[in-house]
Amino acid sequence: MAAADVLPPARAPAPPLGAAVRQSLAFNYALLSLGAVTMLVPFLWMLSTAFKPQSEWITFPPRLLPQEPTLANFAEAIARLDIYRLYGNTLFIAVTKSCLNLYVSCLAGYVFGKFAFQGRDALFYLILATWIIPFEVYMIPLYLLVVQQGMHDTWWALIVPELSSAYAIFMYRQFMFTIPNALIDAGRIDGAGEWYIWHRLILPLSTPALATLAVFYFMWNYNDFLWPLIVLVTPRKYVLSIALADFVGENGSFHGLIMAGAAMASLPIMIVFLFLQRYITQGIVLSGMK
Amino acid sequence: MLPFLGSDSGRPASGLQRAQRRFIVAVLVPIFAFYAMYRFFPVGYAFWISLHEWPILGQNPVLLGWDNYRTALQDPVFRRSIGNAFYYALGATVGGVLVSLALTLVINPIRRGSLAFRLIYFLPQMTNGIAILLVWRWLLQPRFGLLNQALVALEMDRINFLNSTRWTMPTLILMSVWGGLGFTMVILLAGLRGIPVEFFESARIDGGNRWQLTRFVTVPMMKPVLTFVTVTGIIGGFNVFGAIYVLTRGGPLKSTMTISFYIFQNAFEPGFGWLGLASAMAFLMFALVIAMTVAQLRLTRANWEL
Repeated sequence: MAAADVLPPARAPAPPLGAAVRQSLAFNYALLSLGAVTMLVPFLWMLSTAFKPQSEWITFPPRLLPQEPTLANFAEAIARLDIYRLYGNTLFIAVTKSCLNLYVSCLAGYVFGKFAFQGRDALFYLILATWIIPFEVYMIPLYLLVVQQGMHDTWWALIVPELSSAYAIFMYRQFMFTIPNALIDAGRIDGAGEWYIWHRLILPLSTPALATLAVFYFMWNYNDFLWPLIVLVTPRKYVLSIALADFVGENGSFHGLIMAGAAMASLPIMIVFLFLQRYITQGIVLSGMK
Repeated sequence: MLPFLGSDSGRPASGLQRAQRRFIVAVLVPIFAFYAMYRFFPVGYAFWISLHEWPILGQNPVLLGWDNYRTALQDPVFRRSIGNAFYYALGATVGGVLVSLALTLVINPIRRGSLAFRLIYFLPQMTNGIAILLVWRWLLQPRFGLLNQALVALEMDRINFLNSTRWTMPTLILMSVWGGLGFTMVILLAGLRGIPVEFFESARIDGGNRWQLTRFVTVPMMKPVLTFVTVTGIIGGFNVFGAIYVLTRGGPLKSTMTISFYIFQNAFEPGFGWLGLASAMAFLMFALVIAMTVAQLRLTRANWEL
């Protein structure tokens, strides 16, 4: 999981080792540590408050460590948020959406990247153009459409309109340019059908690109907020983001309770992403540096 | 049928050609059906809606022509929301890029602990965004929040961070800077490490010190990547929604009302439900996004190839 694998090695001036240089690196470490503390304080305070009994939520002066640590906030947040159902809903929707979207979009990316036919570029740019349309423009008709198609307040409404996305098509098409045509033609000469080539040759070869895109899409889908807020009505069907927004509205000043809910929504995914961090870094670099 | 040219320069047998043509059609027809139904049609439909008075419930739509656009442009709150969205996007992006650049320059020469620092800066990206907002809500709480307790300890006045026409927008901007640092740093670090080492060597031979190397080599060479993160950041920040919905709901006194939240409110909040007006606002927003995208393509054409 070393990010160093992804980034090219540092090529900035290699300073000769000397007292002056060591001193300036000390400055670097000091500044970075100051930043790191700023990054960590909110998370530490979230955990600290989550473990405090109500009598300790508000103290003068504030204490980082709870006097009498308790799990009561977590127990209550689990019950009130129905957190296991939320995990299940969110995970199911994010995984389903990401997988379907990537399969469909990558198939299109493969066709646009590896086949030559009349009108190919025009069709590709037509799809690519949808990338810049702000969601606010088509969310209202999409809502009317979803109501009319009977998908309102169902998970279909979250999954179906996201079956393909221009960004994934674009990124996968870029990746296709790195796979030699000769390989595909060799498959054809050996008698493989087009679907066989796609499933058995192209898909396995593109595991790195797929992994990167999958982590990205999972991250976005996990954080999706506006659209679920519009189409989901029944709390039983909620995903984490909108359930949390409701939760804070109902329990405004129960700070320990809210922090326990926030901790349970953020920590599991944080741990998963720590292990997948290499793919995230790769994806950011790819999309940012093209 | 589509005349097929083959994926290499040779002359593929016609049986193969037919198989490939079938494959292309089998893939692209459903995909275009999808884009037609869930992207192209909704955009056209949105324009049609924007020309009507179109209540979300009940009555039939009434054709108005351009009235919704006129209403939107004359609405002081709408105009304010565009200004606020720009203010937020510019502030969050410029602030974020400057801080990220400083941290990138500082983290680059470091070996030991570099990965740990990068992971820590990346933490807000790896969690649920709404959970983060709830944590900030508690940290910024007007009386007992950690930040106000710190202010009191320093014998300063408390600040009502999330309910003040003066402080709320800067607070939201700083939250965004905090949350986006790690992401921007990854891109900037990759850009920095892509600079050919010869530039540094020749500058050193000419007697440049570290500050001069940074000022006259590193930063100018990073201009393309800096432009990229700035422009994409502004476009991304322009449609901020979650933070506004959860923390301020556009207040106090519309001082944090942004265009995305205002469109949502006009369309879907109880007591509103004006789909036509909201659609007209969305198209006006679209025009601004297109203008910004064109600016981006012009500015980054050199390092952006389709």
